Amino acid sequence: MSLLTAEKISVERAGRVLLADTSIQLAAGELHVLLGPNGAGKTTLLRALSGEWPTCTGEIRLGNDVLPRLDAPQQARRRAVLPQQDALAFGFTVRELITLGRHAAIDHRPDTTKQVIAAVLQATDTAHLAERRYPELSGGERRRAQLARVLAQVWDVPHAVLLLDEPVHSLDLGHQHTVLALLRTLAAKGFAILASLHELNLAAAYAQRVSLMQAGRIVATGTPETVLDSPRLKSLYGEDLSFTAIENAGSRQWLTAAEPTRSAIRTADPGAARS
Amino acid sequence: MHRSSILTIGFTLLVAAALLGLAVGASALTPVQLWQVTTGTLTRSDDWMHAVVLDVRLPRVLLALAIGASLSQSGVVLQALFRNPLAEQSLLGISGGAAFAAAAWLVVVPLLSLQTGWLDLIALPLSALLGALLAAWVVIRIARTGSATDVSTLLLAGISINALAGAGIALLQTLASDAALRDLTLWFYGSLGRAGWSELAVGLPLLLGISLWLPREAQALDALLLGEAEAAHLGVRIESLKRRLLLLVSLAAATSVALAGIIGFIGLIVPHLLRRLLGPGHRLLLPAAGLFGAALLIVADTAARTVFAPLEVPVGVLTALLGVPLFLGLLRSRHTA
Repeated sequence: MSLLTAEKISVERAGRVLLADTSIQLAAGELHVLLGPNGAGKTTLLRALSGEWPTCTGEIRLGNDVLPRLDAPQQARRRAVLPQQDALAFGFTVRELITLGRHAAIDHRPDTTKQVIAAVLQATDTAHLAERRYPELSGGERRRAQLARVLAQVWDVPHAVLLLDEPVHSLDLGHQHTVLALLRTLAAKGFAILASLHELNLAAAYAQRVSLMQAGRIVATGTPETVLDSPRLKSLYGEDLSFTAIENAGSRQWLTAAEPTRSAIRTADPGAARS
Repeated sequence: MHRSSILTIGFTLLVAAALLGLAVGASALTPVQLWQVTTGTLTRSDDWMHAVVLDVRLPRVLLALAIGASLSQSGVVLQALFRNPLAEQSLLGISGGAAFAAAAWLVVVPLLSLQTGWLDLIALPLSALLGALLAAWVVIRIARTGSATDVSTLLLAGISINALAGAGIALLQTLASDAALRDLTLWFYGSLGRAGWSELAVGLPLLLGISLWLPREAQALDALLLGEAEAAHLGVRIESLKRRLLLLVSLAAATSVALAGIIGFIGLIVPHLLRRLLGPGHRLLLPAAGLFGAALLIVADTAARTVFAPLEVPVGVLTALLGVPLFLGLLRSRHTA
């Protein structure tokens, strides 16, 4: 069941094509990961799917409804968005921040709100930060607090769409795994989740579907096993990188290294490099 | 201390400030006399007290209350709209735009000897409103960049609009008749000295109405602090919210300017201090800003007419003396942070 469908969407800005004729389907029960180099269009795609580009052409459907036909509260009850940038400079406590997530919720009973907040605090490991003020938090703690706010928005919705732009950005290794495991649990519960990542191995370990983006297009889509291979990764991230697959307890992980030519430059004698 | 007790404190302060404003002046009243005036149990020989309190001081205190509350709450709203604690209607040029447009009406009409008749009553506040809306629109077009508003762009936009309004008013002054000139000078340094019951009849319901309406937007304003796109994702109808808030803030600024001229910095001082006590949530911040802003302007106005009595200092001068050091401190802390 596709909860969010985009057909041939394009975004242009100042004569530059940021997203070209892209189609994607987000199915209930699936954690779908976007991979690609900087500037490939991951953020543009996520923003287009969240209805942020008024100039976007093509069709986006949330469930069976074409996007502009749903107003903001209706969209918010079915889809939550975690942006890449975070501009909050005001001193909300983490608990207050998360409460903002309940703005459009139909069930406004204090008991429900309290339960949802407790649940997302625990799920994102931010319970100990609940009364701290947001601007005093570290980068990773802020990220988790924002994620908790996004989850609170649709926590009690059976089939919601989550659009997450680099949800594990600036998280430590342990929390990267906590968050991705949480996303898998939510997918199993019936959510459709699209998340952009830069960590190849997190994608390989947790994603059920991977889309590779390059120059404003999705160049490959499928399970991590079928999509991720050395030639594709080289063409995506650079021909002078080597990608070695390691089979580990039934899952495939990738070892990334610079080719000798690149490392040679780095270790070369400074005097020789200058001449 | 529970945070909502701030509202009780604010209310107590407001009542105390109002009583002070009614009692203090060229002829001071004792609490007993004030009680007698309000209950109508004065002896015949004390009738002058009745006139002083009910016809002079009471309208002035009420105007200060409505304008103080409105300036302070408008500051809160503008700061949320621009996601910037330095946004304030006089710094952004909204009050300046209103003052210039109102002054233009005041000077140009007698100059062309137009017969306006009944139009006079609403034309002045209406042109002030147009000036305020135009200035607000220009600032929002220039200073807004995606999620947050750049401080320097915002302030520079405000400076240029204020400079333009100032130049415009100076030009009008050279053209103006003597009577109009007095009014213009008064406008540029706000004063509550013109308050009478007829001015209050329109202004008071309008300003208090806006003050009572704004807290309804508290939840949406909270969401707005996250950024416009983020607020939209949370389910806020962002475009209509922005239009509504700008209209309300411009209407409040235009009304205050038409009644009392430019009174700056109340919208900066009060929200800043209250955010330190209450945090940024608008559910408590907006009502508290109303109470404390009203109390502050009543006290400032009482000081303005008594400190150098029988001379009167424009109250805008006093609020600037309070506000500018705070403003500079805020600017400095932004650089060191």
